[in-house]
Amino acid sequence: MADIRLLSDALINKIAAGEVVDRPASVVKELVENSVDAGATSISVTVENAGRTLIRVADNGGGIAPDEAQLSLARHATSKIRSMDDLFEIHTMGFRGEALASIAGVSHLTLVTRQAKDAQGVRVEAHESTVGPAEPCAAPVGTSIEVRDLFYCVPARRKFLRSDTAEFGHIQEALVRVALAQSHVGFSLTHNGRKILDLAATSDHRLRVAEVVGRDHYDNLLPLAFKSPEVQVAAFAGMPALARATARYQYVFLNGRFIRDRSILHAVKEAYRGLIEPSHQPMAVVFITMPPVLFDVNVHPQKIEVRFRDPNAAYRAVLAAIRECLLSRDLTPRAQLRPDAAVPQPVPTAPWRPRDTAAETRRVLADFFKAAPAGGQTTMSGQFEAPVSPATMPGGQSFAVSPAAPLAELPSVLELGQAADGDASVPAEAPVAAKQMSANAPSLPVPGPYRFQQFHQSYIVVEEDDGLVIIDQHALHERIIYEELLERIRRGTLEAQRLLLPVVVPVLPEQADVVERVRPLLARLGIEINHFDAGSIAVQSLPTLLRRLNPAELLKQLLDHLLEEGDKLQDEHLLHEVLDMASCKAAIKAGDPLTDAEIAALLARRQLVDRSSNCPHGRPTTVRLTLRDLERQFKRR
Amino acid sequence: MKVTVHRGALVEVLALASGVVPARSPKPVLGCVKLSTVETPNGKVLRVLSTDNEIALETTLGQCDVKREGSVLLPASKLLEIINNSPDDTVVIDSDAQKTTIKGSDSKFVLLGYNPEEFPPISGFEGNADIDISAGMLKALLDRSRFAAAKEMSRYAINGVMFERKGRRLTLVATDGHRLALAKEDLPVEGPDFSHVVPIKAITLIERLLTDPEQKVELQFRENRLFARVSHGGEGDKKPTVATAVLSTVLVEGVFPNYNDVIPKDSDRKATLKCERFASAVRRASLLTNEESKGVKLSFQAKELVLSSRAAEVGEATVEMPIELHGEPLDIGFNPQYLQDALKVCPTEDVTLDLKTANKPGILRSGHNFLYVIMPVSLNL
Ligand SMILES: Nc1ncnc2c1ncn2[C@@H]1O[C@H](COP(=O)(O)OP(=O)(O)OP(=O)(O)O)[C@@H](O)[C@H]1O
Ligand SMILES: [Mg+2]
Repeated sequence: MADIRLLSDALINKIAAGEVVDRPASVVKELVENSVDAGATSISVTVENAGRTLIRVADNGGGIAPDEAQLSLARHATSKIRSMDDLFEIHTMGFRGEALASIAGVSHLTLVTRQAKDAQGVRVEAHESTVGPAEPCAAPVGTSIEVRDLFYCVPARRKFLRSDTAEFGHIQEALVRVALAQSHVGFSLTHNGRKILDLAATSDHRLRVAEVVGRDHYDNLLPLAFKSPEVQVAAFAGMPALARATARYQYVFLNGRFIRDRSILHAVKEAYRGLIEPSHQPMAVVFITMPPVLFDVNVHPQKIEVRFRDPNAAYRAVLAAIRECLLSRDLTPRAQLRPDAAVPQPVPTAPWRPRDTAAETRRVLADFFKAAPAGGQTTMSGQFEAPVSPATMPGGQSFAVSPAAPLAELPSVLELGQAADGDASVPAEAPVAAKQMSANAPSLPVPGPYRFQQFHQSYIVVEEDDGLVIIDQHALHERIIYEELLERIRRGTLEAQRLLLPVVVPVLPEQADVVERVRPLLARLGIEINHFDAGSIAVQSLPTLLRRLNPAELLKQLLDHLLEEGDKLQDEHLLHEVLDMASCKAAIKAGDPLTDAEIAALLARRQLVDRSSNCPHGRPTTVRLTLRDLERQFKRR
Repeated sequence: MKVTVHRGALVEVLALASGVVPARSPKPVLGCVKLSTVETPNGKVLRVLSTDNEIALETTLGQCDVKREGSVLLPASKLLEIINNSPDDTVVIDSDAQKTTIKGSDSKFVLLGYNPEEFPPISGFEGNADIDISAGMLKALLDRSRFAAAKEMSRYAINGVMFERKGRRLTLVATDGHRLALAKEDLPVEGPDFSHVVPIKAITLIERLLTDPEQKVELQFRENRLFARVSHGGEGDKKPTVATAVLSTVLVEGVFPNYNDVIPKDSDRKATLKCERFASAVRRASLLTNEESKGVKLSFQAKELVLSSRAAEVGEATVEMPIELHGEPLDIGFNPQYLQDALKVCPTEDVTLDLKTANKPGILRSGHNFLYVIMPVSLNL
């Protein structure tokens, strides 16, 4: 049996290096982070052969004192934390004091540094774990670290490196992840003598983000900020039209550090629910700021994962922040006439419906899940006498948000129209002549009359002051039902029509659990189901809003879906799924002929819901063709 | 074929026939009406046939003069437009194997038409009726039941009105799964028991044929179809437009719910109300409810009923009315439309409402021959 021996430093460094440094990109990341920690305003990165032969990071930061230069290369040498307590108050990107040592353990490293107060700098060379002496030399203020022949002594690592293109891609990404959060620092990246990135320091954070995701997108990045006592969120949310099939342009930062967190990314996607197609990923760069005591970054050597003390707080804040921002914009895309204009270019506009629905929705959803599911029968006690108004709803008050105005207090559409200072992309409001409205359609004051016409029993074209809008009747109705359901949940009064003849739906034995899982949720939506016999369940009530719904179809689809997705779905997600399915099924279909009164009612209700510009699946409900567009098309301009 | 017809009468008949013609059909002949001359005891008349393959309507036109016998198949909508827009009192329809000419005082239309042999065969009324009933009585029964039938095609078995005969009693029942309406009458004579469901489209067409309470209606259930013959009984001096009409329809297959099972028998509260006052109160209390979310709260007290509703974005309404209540007070929610539908057709001045709890059905009764079961709306979810 082998003797137990203490490992040599060299070996320890090699092992540790495997955790911190697994590819050239991680060297770049560590070095650049050190430069940022040193207060640099300009950082240049030079690599050759994708970092295999050379990585050099030079900064104009504070530098290292001559007598500490050697120490900085020793394991667990750090100037950044001193005690255990500091570990919970980390404000710098580095704190372990192991990056330089680890890198030095697997490369030939040369450190050249000079502090401003010193007349000359020092140079230290390190090979494997032997750190050479600090030798005086001429040097600019700042630090330059050169890493040559990475992994020369770790053939296994070398073998695992991918192609130069792939490795360089990682390097670039590593740099971008730092640069996105540090707009006041200039960055450059040179590969094999070619300058690949040149990001000038700027005080316009949006510009930095745009330089990374695409300079053309500057206008389509919606800046937003959100604050609650514990969490601050700042973000640049891409217009829905910027959504892509990949999640490539989603970045989440926590206190300036890039993190990978599935739950936050989920919150981002969730905020766009209904605005983009489910298969697409929004473009969003999110900066979360939280007191360091509220999370732990010390879970992963590369510090890329964090553990939140309250994972929901960050989730809710991000969801609310982005949702709120999106809700306050008119996101209706313009109709595209020109075949060459393949990419829709939605124009951000003045806030159209300045209403704090997002916060409200979030709070209501929180309450929805807090409240015990409606068990058995409930009476109508108090609902009429003391309606629960959104403003007085208990719980969920942890964010500094103003309560939503009841619909009745919203500025009338007329006022909204005026407030929008005649911008061409502000939707004109209900194009409905009063006499065309059905007796019990909601009767907001409406300007008009605008003319409308149904085409192909699928689309409604409405004339507006500055052009026309084309509406997909199914998508719009679906969105309206979805929002109205949400609205009812918010008010806590989802009326349910009890069924004289319960609808019996067959269920498979393996679906029994799933039925139990959704039963309380459905009950709160006004869909009461109970056991019918061995192989089936009975639907006993349906929300009045969904009277066109065939409950058997809904349940079948829902149960199948749940069986596939298993327990992956969280409650809020599940609620949305149910709302999605229900509103799709209850909505008028393409091909349904509509009477003028029905169209008028539909258009009037369009004004009452948020986000009517997209159906819950994210497809647009409406496209707009302005007179300007037409004039351009007919070459009158 | 050559006939001279009274224009107004032909418009009426063609309008009825067009009600059967399917709006869009892959088979052009189904978009047609078939005109042919037939021999009757009262002389030769013009017969108009139309069908969508499920329902068929045959009408004979009294006011016409047959010059030459024959038959012809013409597109229904074009023919109706031509006749309807004509300024003349009479028009002449003259056809040979190739074409049909419709002549007025100042006009001449030539239609190509189709071969009448291509029209599907339509079987007519044969033998004795299962039920003889006056149009007035049938209309009352239909008025009190058909409104509760399901309008969407989704739940096929209840998308119609059930006709049930037990001894002398004829009962019509309709339900859409939310409410159920039952109307019954005693017939003068007994007959064999039966129970059939007639599709709602056919019901609508039958109702259109019932223009005069004195008309005689014969119903015959045969070969999974209903044949309904409507004719003018009286030999008055005024010649009726439509001498006779026979509508036949396939019956709805599938099981109609057992209505006895859904009529609760354990109600322990009974309110007696004035029908018209109740209807007015419901209508007014519902003025502020909205399209997609309907619910009016009914608070039954010993001597008083308070109806209230609120729509979050609009406001709230309260209406009161005196009632007589036996049993404990109760608050219950109903879709006001469902109440109004039934109150509109109640034959008596006083109605009663039997209730149990806020989630159990209520039973509205008006006299002995109309009963309506209505499921409540839970307002506080
Ligand atoms: N570019 C630089 N400019 C100034 N000082 C630096 C620079 N790079 C490293 N140092 C000094 O060297 C020390 C060691 O760096 P190293 O990256 O190994 O550890 P760290 O940054 O403290 O922690 P971590 O291992 O988490 O990165 C730092 O604490 C810092 O004092
Ligand atoms: Mg470091």
